[in-house]
Amino acid sequence: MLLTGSEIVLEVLAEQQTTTVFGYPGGNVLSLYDKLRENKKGIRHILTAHEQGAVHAADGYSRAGKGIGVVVATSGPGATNIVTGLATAYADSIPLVAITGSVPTTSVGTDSFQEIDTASLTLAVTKYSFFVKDIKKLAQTMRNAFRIAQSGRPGPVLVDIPHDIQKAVCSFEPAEKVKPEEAEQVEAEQIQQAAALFNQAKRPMIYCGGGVIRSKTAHLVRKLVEKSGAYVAFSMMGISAMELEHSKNLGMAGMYGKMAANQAIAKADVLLAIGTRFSDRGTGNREAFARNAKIIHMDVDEAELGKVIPADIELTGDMKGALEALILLVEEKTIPQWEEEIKTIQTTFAEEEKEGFTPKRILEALRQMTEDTVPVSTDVGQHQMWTSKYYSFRTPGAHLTSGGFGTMGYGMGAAIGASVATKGQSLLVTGDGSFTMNMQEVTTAVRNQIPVTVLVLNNGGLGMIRQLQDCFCDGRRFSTELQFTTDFAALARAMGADGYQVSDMETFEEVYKKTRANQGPTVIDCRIAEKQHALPMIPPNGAVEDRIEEKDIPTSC
Amino acid sequence: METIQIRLTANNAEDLIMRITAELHKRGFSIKTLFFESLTADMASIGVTVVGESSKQAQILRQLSRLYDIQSADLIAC
Repeated sequence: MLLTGSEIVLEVLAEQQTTTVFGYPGGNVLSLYDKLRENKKGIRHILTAHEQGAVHAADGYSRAGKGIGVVVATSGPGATNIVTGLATAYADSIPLVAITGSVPTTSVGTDSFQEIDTASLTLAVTKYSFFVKDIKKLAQTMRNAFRIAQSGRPGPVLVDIPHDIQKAVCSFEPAEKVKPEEAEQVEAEQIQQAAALFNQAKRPMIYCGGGVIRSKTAHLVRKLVEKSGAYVAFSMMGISAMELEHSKNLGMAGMYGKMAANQAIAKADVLLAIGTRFSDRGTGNREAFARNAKIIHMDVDEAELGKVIPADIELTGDMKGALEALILLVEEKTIPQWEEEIKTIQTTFAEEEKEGFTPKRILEALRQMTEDTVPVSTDVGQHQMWTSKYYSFRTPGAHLTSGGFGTMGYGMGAAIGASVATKGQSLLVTGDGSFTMNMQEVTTAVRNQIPVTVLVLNNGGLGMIRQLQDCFCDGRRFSTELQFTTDFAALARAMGADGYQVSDMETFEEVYKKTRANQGPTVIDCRIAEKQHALPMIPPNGAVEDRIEEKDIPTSC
Repeated sequence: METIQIRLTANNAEDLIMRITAELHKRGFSIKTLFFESLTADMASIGVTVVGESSKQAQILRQLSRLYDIQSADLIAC
């Protein structure tokens, strides 16, 4: 059949079972939007307030659901506005497809209005970026974009389509939904070597990253932990794989992680790292990380092996198959001496419980009042660390955060995407700094009746950077004080949402329970004390013995 | 810093060279020379001489290998 380029795009989206796209219109996607309006393929378009919100929503949709998020933006500023979101998805290995309009092929290279070389611009932040110059290649290019995005280590792919190609006509042949390329199986001999080393361990540790979530192998990690006598710690990207209450789970390791987890990694004699790229935020000083351990590193991406931490045994390929095989070979046992050591470590590094309206108490109460499957997004800063440490996730993948790229302003878009994907309530835990960056997306949730509950842990400033100024600049604070000048509850109401301001546990719980059934967004401005730090922390390139605690911070805070 | 020669075999895709040079730049390597030859309509051979940390040799080969169009990446000399 003969179709226009825009119709071909929508046909392929339907082929890939795309039901929702997030986007923002513009001159060079006019034809595509005209076809979206006709809605012949039943694809819902969610108009965001800004292209950045759209790309984060597509990212959140991918993370929370089973499909691949799709974002549409126009040329020039539309395209540049999605670059941060693509980088965010790329850093965290999130599959998504970005479709941008471009100036007509006859105008390419003339510096015309809203022209930019989007394919080049996004090279460093995508798995692949296509520029479609021939309508005959459009359908296959779109299918390739979906295939590449989800094959091997997932990631974002961009397709830039000139406006005249969107309007041109070409024959189109329908096809089946593309399947991701299957990863190669890990060699049996390597798995046997890994099992032999792991079985010899007297202090075995498992360290998991986001690869465990993406490969849907959290249940296998649990089996391995429960069979082997090992303890487990997670990078921020992996924490939703297991609930905090599990007796073998030491929680998040790393710079702002739990010191017991860091200490256990430092003491381990064998470390099995699964689906992690050993981010510097997770390892700190590379020389000191797992300094007593032989390391087994398992990842679908061979390029991650040996990139940061050299491994004694490298396993690359399909994680599910490798873990299933490893579980069969691992001896079933308990290691009482290691358990005793861990108990001592946990006692030594136990965190002091504080009274009052603290982030820890808020997050623990939030957890009690929320179903296990509700996706929880965060922005970036102290609230992100508190959520990672204190919110006990029971559904793998329910934690959405910008772990690798650290994008402030990620959360509101992601929470919208997560709510659309799961067709229910989603939570955003944010800070006053991060929320201010993209809070206009509340209007998106209002217009589309998307039930996002926003908790602003409002400490009147850019808390994380303020904390770093306290720690590393002798308390000289600069440009980090926001002074509680914004009334987020009033602002939410001005945008058509429900808004509340709370400053004690009782009122918070009452408001949260009352607003759970809201059909649209709710913003709860939680006025917490400025002095609450995300501590203890390990300074950049430091080790567990270099940790900074409350007592180490100057009195100015 | 050392001079390293790498040979790549790749799908002869549009913008292939751009992707290779961007990856090398991203990983901290400077390109001294680049040689490109179309073997067939679908396949290409690329020789590239770069300057970078010798300790990252194995890593850059793995990084190039994972680029979507690259079939093989081999170290020729350093």
